[in-house]
Amino acid sequence: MTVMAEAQLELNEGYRLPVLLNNGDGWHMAEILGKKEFQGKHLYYIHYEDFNKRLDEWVPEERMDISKAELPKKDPKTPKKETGKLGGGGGGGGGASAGGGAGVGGGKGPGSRPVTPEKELLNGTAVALTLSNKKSSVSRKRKGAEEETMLSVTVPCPVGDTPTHSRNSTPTPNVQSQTPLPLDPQEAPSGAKVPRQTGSMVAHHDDIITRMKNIDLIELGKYRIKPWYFSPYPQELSGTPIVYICEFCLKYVKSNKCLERHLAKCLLKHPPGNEIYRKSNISFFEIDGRKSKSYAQNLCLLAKLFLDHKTLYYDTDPFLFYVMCEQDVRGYHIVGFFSKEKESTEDYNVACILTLPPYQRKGYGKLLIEFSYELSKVEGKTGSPEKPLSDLGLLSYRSYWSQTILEILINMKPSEGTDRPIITINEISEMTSIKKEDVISTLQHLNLINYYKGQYIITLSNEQIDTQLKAMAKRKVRIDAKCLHWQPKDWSKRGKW
Amino acid sequence: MSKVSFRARALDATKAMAIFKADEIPDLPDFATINRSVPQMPTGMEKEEETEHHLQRALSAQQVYGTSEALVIPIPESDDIADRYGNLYRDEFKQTKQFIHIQAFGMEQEIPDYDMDSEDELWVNEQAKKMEITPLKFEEMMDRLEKGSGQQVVTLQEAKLLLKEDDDLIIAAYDYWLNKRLRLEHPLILQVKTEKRDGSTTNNPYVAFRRRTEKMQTRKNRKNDEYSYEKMLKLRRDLNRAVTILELIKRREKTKKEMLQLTIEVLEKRYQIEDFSGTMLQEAEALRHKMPSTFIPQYAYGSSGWGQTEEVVVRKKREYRKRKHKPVLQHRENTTVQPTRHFTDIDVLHTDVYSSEDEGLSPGMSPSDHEDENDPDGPFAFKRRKNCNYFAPILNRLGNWSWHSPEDGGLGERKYRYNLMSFSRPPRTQGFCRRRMGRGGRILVDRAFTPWDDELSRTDLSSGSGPFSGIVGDYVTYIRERKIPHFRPHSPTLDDMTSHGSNVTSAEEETEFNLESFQSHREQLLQMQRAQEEQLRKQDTLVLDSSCSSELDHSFSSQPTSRFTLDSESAKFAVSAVLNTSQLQSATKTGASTQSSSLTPSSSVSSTISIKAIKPTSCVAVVTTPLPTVAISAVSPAVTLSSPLASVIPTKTLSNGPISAQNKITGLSTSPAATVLQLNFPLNKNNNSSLPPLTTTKSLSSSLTSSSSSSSSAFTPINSISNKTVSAVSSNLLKNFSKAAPLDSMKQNHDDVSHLNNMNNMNSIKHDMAMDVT
Repeated sequence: MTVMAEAQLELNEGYRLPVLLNNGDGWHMAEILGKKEFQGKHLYYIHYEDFNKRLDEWVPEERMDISKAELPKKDPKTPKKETGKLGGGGGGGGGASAGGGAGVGGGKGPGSRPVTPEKELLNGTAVALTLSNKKSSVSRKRKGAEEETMLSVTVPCPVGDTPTHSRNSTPTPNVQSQTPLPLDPQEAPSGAKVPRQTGSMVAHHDDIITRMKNIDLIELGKYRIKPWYFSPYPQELSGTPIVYICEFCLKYVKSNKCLERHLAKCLLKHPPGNEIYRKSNISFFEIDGRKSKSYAQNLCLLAKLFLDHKTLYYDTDPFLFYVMCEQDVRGYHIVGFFSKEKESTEDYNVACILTLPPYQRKGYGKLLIEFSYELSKVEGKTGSPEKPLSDLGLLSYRSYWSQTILEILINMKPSEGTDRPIITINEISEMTSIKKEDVISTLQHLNLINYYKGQYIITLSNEQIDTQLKAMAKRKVRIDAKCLHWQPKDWSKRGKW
Repeated sequence: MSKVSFRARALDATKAMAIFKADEIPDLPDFATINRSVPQMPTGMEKEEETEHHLQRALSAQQVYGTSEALVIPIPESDDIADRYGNLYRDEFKQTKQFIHIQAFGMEQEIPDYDMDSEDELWVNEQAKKMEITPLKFEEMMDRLEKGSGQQVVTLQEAKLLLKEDDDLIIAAYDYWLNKRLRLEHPLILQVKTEKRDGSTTNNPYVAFRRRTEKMQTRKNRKNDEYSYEKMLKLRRDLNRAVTILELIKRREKTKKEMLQLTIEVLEKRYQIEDFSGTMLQEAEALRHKMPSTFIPQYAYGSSGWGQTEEVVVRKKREYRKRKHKPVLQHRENTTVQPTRHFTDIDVLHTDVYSSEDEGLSPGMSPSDHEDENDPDGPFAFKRRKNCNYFAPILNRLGNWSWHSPEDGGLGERKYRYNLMSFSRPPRTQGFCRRRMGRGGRILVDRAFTPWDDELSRTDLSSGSGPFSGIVGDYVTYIRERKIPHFRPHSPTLDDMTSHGSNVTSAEEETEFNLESFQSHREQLLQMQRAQEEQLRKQDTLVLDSSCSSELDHSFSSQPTSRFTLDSESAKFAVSAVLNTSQLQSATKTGASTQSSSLTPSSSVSSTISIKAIKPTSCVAVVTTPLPTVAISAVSPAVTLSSPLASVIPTKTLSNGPISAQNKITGLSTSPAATVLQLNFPLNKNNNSSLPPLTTTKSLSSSLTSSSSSSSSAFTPINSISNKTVSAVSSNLLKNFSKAAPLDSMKQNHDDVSHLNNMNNMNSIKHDMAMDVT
């Protein structure tokens, strides 16, 4: 039976089937994204549905319930791997990786950024296409406005049964077929989508290559860490079982011997920047992405292993990197970092932020966030992290915001002549450098704002106060503003970053 | 249930909110539904990720428990490899006391990027037995080979150039490297792919860190840059101005200080020489206004070969002007413009065509001001002057110089002719001479050698009687009958002036001078008309009507090119002042004559000279006048006079010379700044050279001190310091002087006093201007 099944069913990309979770804790529906042969056995790269991509992994057939395998859906979640053409070809926007056979349109969910118009304007045909799409879209207006966006980048597919996918909208093959066809030749080469030049985060990019982790394991300092996401380390490193990374200069080498040799030569014992904060064994270094290019790039490559939305598309020049280190007899060990645009047009005070996995859940993340707001305080600005946030980012920031705001609210004393402390949202924002919107969002998330007798009030429940006090008791290490020796630079006057 | 019929107001971030504890307001739940109206803020996450299972779980846990600790988001695991780590990284780091601060270029490591792997290690160990190779050396070689290869792999020849090792080692390493590279088919130093120009890498996920095509800068910032750039330019300009102003102030204050010192010196000297009446001051004042500063010499014609040039009056002094003016001066001296101009001046006499006034030079400007500016030739630039005729060069003849005979195309002017010259005491004839003006107003007498010189020296042309015999007698008779002009020294004294004109020479010359004087006087009148100076004209007539001799009259009025009314006036005044001086001198003449002339001048001459010699101070006092143009010229006649040889020169020449020379230079000194700057140099030098014995006794620490000390009487500057008081003082002094002075021309002195007052005022104005400029 199984033999029969196996003979019948060759598992391929796009198949969905339950897979035994890594920790052995039950089965979870997963989708096969890739396939490789390793020591005579097939290994499948699977993505657990509704789980973050960081849990995607290579699994052997043993962990898969092949009997329950489902054929690829009409609307596969992920684009098919393109055969023969590296890099996903000149796919359209967002998640579109225009596979030769399984060409798909914008794989974006609702609400994701619309495809930038400049692409269509690249040639007249595209404009014509947009117009014709508009025409045809009249009939399906009610199906959702985002479809129009999607359609404008739709690459007509020769294989009729693999239409464009969209997670939340139903496939519309009929509409698809109405789409004029001559787009493909022009769009493929010229339709290359280029990320925006500001910021460091990019909206989801469902390229099949970048969807799959390319590094199995890294060794950084005294940790061996499983990467979470794709990172554009040199392709040659993909095949090596472990990528060795120097914990000081973050140089990557392919073997233990190379690391030994490198360590014999490497002179760095700390990030190549100025130490701007030191309290006990925690230090922060400021690194200019333009001056310390090599380090900044290595740092970005490392960070990309753990940050899904980070883009390494452009150089690091417009960024400053604040690296948090723990210092001991061997030097300054990188714990985490955040990057920051030298000039942010959108009041971002953090671009990317990462605590390295071994240090996570130890309060370092909050320390990083606290430090970033401390810098904003020195600058006299309010700031916010660049979007999109990751799940962990959202949790960390919410946690930080909650604790910071609750700390203020709880410690507020009634001013003279009033029986009750009074505060405005702007005051909270100014005290914390947390952007006003984030303050509101936090107050709201914590259910602190209530409308009472014609005006808004802030209410604190006893449980909230208890939890807050406990949480703050745990946050032993805090940023001490007195230990920060830093002057903000006015980068706009420098002409260059 | 409790449906509320009204909408809550929007949340206002500026509105104060009271902070309650939940149990303080038990009726809150009744209002709970309205809370929905608080707008939901976006999480900032990607929508598709927001719904992820673990996140939702954690978010709800966070909301419920205040922390998501219970339900964490699972992450891939990490392993601690502390044992291995301890062996790999050395524990020799020592914390610095100071924060770490990296140097700008300190981090550039000169270490090879290539790291040896195990395969390399085997090979290196193998090779190490045969040749000298260390892992580091191997890595350097590999590094060079790798970096030397771009698209194309380096050849062995190139490798040999790249690697500075033995050939054997190079070949071995190169072979090893090449094999390994061919086998691996990728660069041995792994690097992140960089973009290619053709755009083919746009979507390659392995290409990272692309250059930003557009400079990420907002318009606002660019505007700021421009704005700040402009501001910087303005700032620099303003600072430059401030520096200039400060420099000028420095100069002004320095000058003020000098002036103050001069005043003190003047008063001290006056006290020493007991000039309580102010007579000496008066003299100096007068001289100062009269004398021109520089002289343009006639072109030197001594080179003609047939004549013998003798510089009769030797002046050791050099004219000192501000350095800037020097080239101009030299230019004038060295070119032949001067004679031409002279000739043109004559021309003006005959035709009115050229008599138009020279408009090119305004009173306030010196020629150098014109010439220095905006001309590539600087001070040497050619300038067409209105009073000059410019002729095309003559190619087939000698030229049209004034001294050439008409046959040669010249004018054959009389003044270039050699004439007989005679002395009255001892009565003798000098031979054929020609008088001309030398550099600095020196009077030169060119002597021409003739075979009859010996004979002539024994004749006395002036006496009119004598036992002449033979050829000589005939010759004398011939001269007398033909009224061939000859020179005779003349005294400038009043007596002499009034009683002159007895001989042929003076008669002859007078006609000649009258011609000139007529012409120059006409010009002067024109000038005065233009200046609309009523008073000036009065003075003119006054001076003309005064008891001055006709010679002095000539000298005064022969200012054909005087362009500066003030100067002309001052010159006029100076003339009368000199007269006073000489009168005074003649009055106070003492018997102690220091004259050591080998010649025997006429009595009138000798008296003048002896006076000058006795009282050199009165002459030298002028030296310290703050207007050097005047001072210099004042000195020059003084020296001329005190020199014994001067006695051979007719008096009218003495006074005529410098003043007529002044005509040509007046423009130079009219720039106020130049005037002030010229202050010290000429004076100092003049004194030192003209009066060496006096100078040596005093220290030379300060030019001013030396100048005034050597002069031992320097009161003139006083009026340049404080015009009003000084004018009053000087007028008083003059009054005293005129009372005391046993002179005939009291009336004239009174006139002079009024003149002096006027002059003081004018000078003070001039001086104020100068101060402002500096």
